[in-house]
Amino acid sequence: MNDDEIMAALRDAKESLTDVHMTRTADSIVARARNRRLRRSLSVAGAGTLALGVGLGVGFSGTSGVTPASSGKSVHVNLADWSVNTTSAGTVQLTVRDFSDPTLLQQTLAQAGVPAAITVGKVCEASASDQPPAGSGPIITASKGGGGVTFTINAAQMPAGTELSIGVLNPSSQTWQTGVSLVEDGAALVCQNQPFSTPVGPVTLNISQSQGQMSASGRSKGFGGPGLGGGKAPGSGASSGSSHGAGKGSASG
Amino acid sequence: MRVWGVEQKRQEFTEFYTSVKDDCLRIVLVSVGDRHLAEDLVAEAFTRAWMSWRKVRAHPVPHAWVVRTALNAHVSWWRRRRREVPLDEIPPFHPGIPETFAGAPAADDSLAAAIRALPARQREVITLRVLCDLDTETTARLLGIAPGTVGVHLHRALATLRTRIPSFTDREVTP
Repeated sequence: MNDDEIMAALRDAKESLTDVHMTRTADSIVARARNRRLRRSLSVAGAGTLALGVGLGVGFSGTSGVTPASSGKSVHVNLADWSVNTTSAGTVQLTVRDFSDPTLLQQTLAQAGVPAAITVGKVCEASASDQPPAGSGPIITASKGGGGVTFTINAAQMPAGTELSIGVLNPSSQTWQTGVSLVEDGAALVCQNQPFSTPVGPVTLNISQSQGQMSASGRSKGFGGPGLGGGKAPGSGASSGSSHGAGKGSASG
Repeated sequence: MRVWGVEQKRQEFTEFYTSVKDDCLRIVLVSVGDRHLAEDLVAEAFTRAWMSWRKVRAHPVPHAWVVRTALNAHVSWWRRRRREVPLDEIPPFHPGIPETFAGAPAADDSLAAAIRALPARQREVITLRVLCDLDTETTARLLGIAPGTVGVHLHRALATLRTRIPSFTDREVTP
């Protein structure tokens, strides 16, 4: 093919995508820009403009609506399917044996000081162009115990204006799965109904099983991307195929 | 004196967005090969366009500005990803579920990969000159290079694509 033919082929490749359309409206683009401006303004203004921040909070509609409780609040909720307990170290332990009542779980986490948005049937993470700021230390670790999977969450390490996006897949099955990522309020999310295979987040929590230990590796700052939990596989936790068979995984900053 | 009201500004942006959004998305999609990523990048570019609308509206080819911004955002994203620590072994999330992303239709993967592998300047020339269908002079002006240099980059880029994309080579040898 000569140059003209290749150029024609490239143009044809573009023209063949006639069924590809932007699904977002101009209003959503403008709203996104407005939220970004507000966030920048708030971060510059700092704590001295608390009243202003409260007023502008209305502008962030569309986020989860979870309001973190004061960090010193003690929460101990232990249900048959899951438990949320604050610890003296300031962390929050979430143990999941089965996924039920995600709304109550979200509210309980919020009371414990962990802003989170729980989605059922899909896992979400921030889009490539809307990544959260990096944290300064470990935010979450995962381990097998307590009859399920225990997540230890250090909310103090979460950058301001971020929340955990906890997605649950197949919640009614014996092998439910969960993907956890850190997202910024108002960020555009990418959601799917199967586990993440190519993490987008600036920092990833990849749990692997090595020498009988579940280990995790992440990038240098904060926590994002998919974290993996597992389900209750009767009689054989390790054979459930997920990465929570034994040991402990963590995402560190 | 002309007063540029917020409503007028917004209406102007909305008209611009409506008229070029799909074309921008398709151009970016050809270059990145992933539907969701392309839409995210284009949305990000339009967000920046709105935040700098006074500047963008005065641009000689505003939609080319959007495409370039989207692709530059992709480069930034790609660089961040390359800094990830490689893991020796990452088991599947769950063996019963395929790892591949079954997302929306994507563009020709080999074409996107070949374009992505081009040097930055050649990639920009291909994008503006071919996919945005700008003439050589406009492309040169936007990139701040001489028209002759555009021709050189274009020729080299096409030569590279010819060697890397099987269909481009196949047609050449077909009787």
